Amino acid sequence: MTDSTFDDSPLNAAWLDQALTQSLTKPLTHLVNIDQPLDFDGYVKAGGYMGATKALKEFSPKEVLAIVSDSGLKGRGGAGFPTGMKWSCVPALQEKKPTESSPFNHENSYLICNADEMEPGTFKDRYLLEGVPHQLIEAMIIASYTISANKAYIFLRGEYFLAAQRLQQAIDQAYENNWLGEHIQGTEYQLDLYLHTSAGRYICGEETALINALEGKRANPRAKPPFPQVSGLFGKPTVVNNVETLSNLPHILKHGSEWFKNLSPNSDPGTKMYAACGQVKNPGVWELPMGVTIRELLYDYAGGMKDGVKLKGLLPGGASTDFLTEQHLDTPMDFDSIGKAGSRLGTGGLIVLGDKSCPVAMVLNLLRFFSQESCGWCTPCRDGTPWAVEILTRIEQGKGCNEDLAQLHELCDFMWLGKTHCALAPGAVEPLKSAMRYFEEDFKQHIEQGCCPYVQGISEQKITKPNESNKEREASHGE
Amino acid sequence: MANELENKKVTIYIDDVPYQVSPDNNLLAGVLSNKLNLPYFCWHPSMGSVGACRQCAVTQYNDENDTRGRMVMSCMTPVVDGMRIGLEDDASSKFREQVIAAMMTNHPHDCPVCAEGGECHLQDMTVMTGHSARHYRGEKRTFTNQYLGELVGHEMNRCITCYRCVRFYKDYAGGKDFDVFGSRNQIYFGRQKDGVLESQFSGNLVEVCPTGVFTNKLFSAHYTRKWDLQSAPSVCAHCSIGCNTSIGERYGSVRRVVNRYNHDLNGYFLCDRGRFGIGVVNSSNRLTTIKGVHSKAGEPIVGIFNEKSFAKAVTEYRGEDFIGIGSARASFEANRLLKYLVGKENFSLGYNNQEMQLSLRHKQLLAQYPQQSLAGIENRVQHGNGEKEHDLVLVIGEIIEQTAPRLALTIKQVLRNAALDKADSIGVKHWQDSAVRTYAGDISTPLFTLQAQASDFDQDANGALVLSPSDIVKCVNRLTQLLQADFAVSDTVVVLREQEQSPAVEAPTASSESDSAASENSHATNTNDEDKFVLLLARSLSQAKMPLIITGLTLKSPALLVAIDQLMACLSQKSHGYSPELTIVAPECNSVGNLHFLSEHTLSIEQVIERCADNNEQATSLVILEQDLAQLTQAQSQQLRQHCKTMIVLDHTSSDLSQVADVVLPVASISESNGHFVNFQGRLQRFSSVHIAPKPILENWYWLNLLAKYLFAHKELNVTNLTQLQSFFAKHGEPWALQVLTCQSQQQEQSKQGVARQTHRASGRTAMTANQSVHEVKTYLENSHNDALNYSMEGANAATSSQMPYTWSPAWNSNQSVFQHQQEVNGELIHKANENLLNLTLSVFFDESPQISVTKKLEQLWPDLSVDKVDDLIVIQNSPWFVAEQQTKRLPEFILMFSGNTVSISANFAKKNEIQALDTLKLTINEKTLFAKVKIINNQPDNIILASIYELPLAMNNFSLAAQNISKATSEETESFQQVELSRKLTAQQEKANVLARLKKQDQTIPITFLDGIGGVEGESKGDSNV
Repeated sequence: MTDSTFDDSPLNAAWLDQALTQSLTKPLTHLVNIDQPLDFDGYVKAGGYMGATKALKEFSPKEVLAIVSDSGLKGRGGAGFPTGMKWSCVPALQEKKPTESSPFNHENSYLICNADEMEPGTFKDRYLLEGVPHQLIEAMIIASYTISANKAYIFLRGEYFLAAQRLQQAIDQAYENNWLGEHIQGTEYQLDLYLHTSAGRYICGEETALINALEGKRANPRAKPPFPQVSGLFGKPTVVNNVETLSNLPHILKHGSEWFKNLSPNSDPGTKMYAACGQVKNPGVWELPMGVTIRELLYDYAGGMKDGVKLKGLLPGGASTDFLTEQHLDTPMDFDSIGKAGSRLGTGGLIVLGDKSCPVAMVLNLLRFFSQESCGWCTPCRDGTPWAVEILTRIEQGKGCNEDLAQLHELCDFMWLGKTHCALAPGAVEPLKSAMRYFEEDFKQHIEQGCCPYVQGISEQKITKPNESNKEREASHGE
Repeated sequence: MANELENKKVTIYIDDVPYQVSPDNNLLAGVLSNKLNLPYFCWHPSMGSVGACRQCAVTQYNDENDTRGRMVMSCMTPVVDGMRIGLEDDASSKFREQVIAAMMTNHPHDCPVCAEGGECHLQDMTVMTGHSARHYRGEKRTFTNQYLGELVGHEMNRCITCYRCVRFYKDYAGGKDFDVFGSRNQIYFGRQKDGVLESQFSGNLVEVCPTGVFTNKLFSAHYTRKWDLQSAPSVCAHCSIGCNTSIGERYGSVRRVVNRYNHDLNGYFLCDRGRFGIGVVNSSNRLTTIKGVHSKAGEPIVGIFNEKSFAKAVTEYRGEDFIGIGSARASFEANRLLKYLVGKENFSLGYNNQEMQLSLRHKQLLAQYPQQSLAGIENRVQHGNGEKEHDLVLVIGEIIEQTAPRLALTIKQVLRNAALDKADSIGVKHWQDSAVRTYAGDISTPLFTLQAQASDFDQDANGALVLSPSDIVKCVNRLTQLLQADFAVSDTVVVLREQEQSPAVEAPTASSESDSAASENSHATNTNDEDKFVLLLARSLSQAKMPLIITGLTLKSPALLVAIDQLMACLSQKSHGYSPELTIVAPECNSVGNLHFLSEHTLSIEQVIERCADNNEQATSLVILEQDLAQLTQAQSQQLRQHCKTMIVLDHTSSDLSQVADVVLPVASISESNGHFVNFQGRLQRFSSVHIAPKPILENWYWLNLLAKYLFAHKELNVTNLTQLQSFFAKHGEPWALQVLTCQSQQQEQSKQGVARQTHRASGRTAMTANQSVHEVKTYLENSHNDALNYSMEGANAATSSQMPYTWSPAWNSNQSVFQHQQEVNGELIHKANENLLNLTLSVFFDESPQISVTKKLEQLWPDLSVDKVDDLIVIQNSPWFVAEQQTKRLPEFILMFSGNTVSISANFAKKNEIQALDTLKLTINEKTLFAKVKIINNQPDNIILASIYELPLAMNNFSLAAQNISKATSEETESFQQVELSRKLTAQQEKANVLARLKKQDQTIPITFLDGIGGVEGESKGDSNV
């Protein structure tokens, strides 16, 4: 991609004007162009690298931290931990008196962008990575500057081949234009940015497992404390942030924290990348103000349920969240409200289950995934998830018994938070436990009838609408 | 000391009961230290916590009003004053049971055929959590097992994935050929492909594994449940460290060795030579009959000893002049008794002149520089971070991974001091194993090696230099001079800085590429390397606060010990707060004990030969105690045999000497005898017999006692047991005997009725001899040795004594039970044995005379006449650890591990002599022709030949070899060499099968008489009736 091809295209010029009209309402996505993302010049022309310029030239790292903390930005990877607070644990930002002459003379720290988007039903980061790669690079410059990192890594899901190509191109362009390397834009600041494509394990999304993988070790999560901010990559202070989280930074710097807070009608500030897949008419990903209700997302954006299918339940934020049902449709999709409803906002990607599909089969499918992806470090996850798969398989095959349900409840308890080494097994428990609560009847019917009551429905679907079910399958595997 | 420890403890509440716990260790260790039952798997007292198995979960409460609490893994939880936890609450109890249930989804129900059964930590933990019914209905996962060599068996289906094996093998012991593979519930621990485990610590996997994945193959081949083993506390006889072992026996044959916890020395780990080497006591080469004094005709019979006829026969030799030759592998008592019998002017330790000089230098160093225990070296103190820890290690002229493997394992931990220090800086506790490794990475305490051959440690070393032995001495002297100059100026490194040519001095490493490239001017390169090495080392030494210098006697160089002495003297001058320490590896298990007997009267072998050959005197005879005298030249051996009148050899295994001796008295092996060994530090350690050998095999001291009675009748000695012998010397005012007796009487206080060697669950007491007689064997409360141990299941519990025959505690059947007997986790044993350090006083001529006259005096006494010709080659022993000890190298399994004779030569030497790698060389050493395959090594001095030749006695080292004695083998010779190599292996294979068949047969036909009191007093009193 060269400058001339970009400028020569009137389509692009028109597209840019159109895009810029949304710069204040859809900061993350207004510049997204999946077919042909903006190159460096295009991105700059569209107002890019202004946030980074401001950060590097007008603010000290601590001032950037103050702005980000003030904005109330929470991590978009699933846990919703306040970003400012995460950063403030880095030793460099805790020193009371930064030496004036050289603010970067302490132990090196690292920034890692977690772009290992492996959560089933989640494809929001991919949209940003493929659609506007420079935004992430700008964001990482700001974040690295703040935590005084001179080296940063993008840990990218291995299957995101297109994203890898586009990111590498963008990184090269950033080096060419002095946004990476030594003396960035004439300042004393230096940053090297590396793209690392993952060998492909779900657990690499866990930040400490990701760090281990990046070091070339087994991708097992680490025990905490010490947290990565103190002892992370190669034992050095490290911050790991999600793609979407980071992508907010240029805009917060550019427009201020007040603007960011006002983007959302409720206490969780900013916009959020929401997505929907499963049995909806119009699966996709949208940037909306934080706190849109499930109903709006499902019916206004995702086009409602497929014809002839009623809503059975949905996972609000990827595979490792609890089911919600009809009764929760008016819950705002923000961290607190979804939490109160008994689930988690997670990644904000709805996985919608219709009433013609078997919830047991769906949970079995999810548990298979989680047991497959267990790193094998701690007992509850390593041996508990396959046990759940064994039971669910039998129930789905109509070979279950009532004791199995009791055993499943026991296993949910066994793999719950605080008992495992990381959040993978509790994440696997969430859909299982909630499915057993909301769809208890379905489980019982499997056992009583000695077969899956949905089996006919599914086979019908397979025969009559093979194309559609293929699409669904694709959607649930990440678009 | 005890009060100090108590003061450091804090109070925590476990199920509302207050307990005192150390805040320096984790909560699990605290709970266990209070002897409470809390199950665990992945945590290991010596390897710390990683939080993998989740078995040690407890509920932690915020305060006394908190009824819900939250679950925490106790191994990952620091102890906080006043914290409240629950062990017995429903939530954590249920969770712990669930963890077992989850592990059991894949663990096979094969306990009845599993070698771990009965001492399985998993069994214990399963019972402890109350998990009894299986709910899992699915299939179990299965794996393919690997062949891991002759020593360790592999049964992966039993694995519960606690990660202990890989943490021990890779992280703790530094092994590189074992790892964890796969993920989810398909985690596999093993090698990348089948093959012999390379680590000399692989046997610890057997004890580290909480279940039966890794098993002792030698034990499994001739198996007995732990509860049926008769065990005894012993001391490893296969190097000078003196690791404490527990030997297990049944039906008169030794089955295995396991670790016996000793806080100061081996802790929880042994090396494989100590663990598996015990097999040699079952060897077919054991001497089982008396030779030469059987008055009756016909074949001597095993199982019978007729003292009267022995007495009659042996009195024939009365009146001859006897010289006694002691040994560094015989017990301290036996050597002492022999010296007493023959008198100090007629006593030799079997050392030649050079070795006499060496030993005196050794003694001199030991007297000056107290030797730390392994715990001291490792800073394995009970509480937190001691202020003293080694911050530099320098190994000179001793390949410790061959000569003292357990020390090498300790040094590997010392090298982690830097990492632990770094972890301190962010408050990461030392027990947080994974966190320390994450934070500190591979940062290592500075290490330097100065050796005559490449060492395993070289790759981790900041500087590694390979020189010929004489150049090592020069190099140490240079170092001393440099440091002297430096210290003279001030404590800074001014002088060193001046000497440095460039700011960044890079140390040469063993794998330095430049060496191989610059083959032509290698001498110049070497000198340059040496300069760099010495400078960097000097600088590092002067910056360190507590350097540890390790050396040994393997190179047999008195000059090296003198140089080390000067280096230590120089370092010791440095300012207050600088405390260099020295560790000297001794050649054999009782070498330091023998230093006690060294005086200017002690005869060297040359002097012994001279005395024998001296026609003016009356004919001289020899009593040779457990000696090979393998370092003698062929000529010396012949002279010795020719000139001595009567040669009486006492030994347990057939040797060259026993074959030429007039009288051979079969001696009990380590497993069948009692006594003390003195380890490298000078620590007198008791070893006890696990069973009584079939007569006429008797303990060495008992044979000597009989000789005293019938041969040296003028010596007033009438003892019937070892304690009486010790008392005899105590009466003569010998401090060691008083120490030993005090220790023993203390032990008897601890358990008056004597400790049972068998477990309280031992089975077959009435059945095991039923094939011979239906009468129950009389319980044999054998106190004749007065060692407070009974050959019975009757007596006090093993744990009531400092000499625990085995480790067991209610609900803890595995060796993990040892914490129940420690004051606290990783601490001293509750019943601790007295630390009896031998007082090695300096020989009189070291006292006042300056250095030079000592050298002169030594030369006068024991002139070292061996002169190296300039163009001679130097042969250095380089055998792998399993054939680097004279006794255990006979073990068939070790022979099977030996890949064949090799000699390593430098590239230059090879080029000059047109030798290719894998050529066969013919070496004529000591009139014997030896063959070996050629290896070519780059960074090796051209005049050094590293020999790994099975037939070459290990006692010969660092000797010169004339160039004409080394040549390429002809093709016929090569072929016959290959035949020899092959037949060595086949013989070993055969021996392995033979021994097993013999022992199994013995299990079936064990004679009653065998059990009925043999040896010691019983043997004496019943001697006649047995005929």
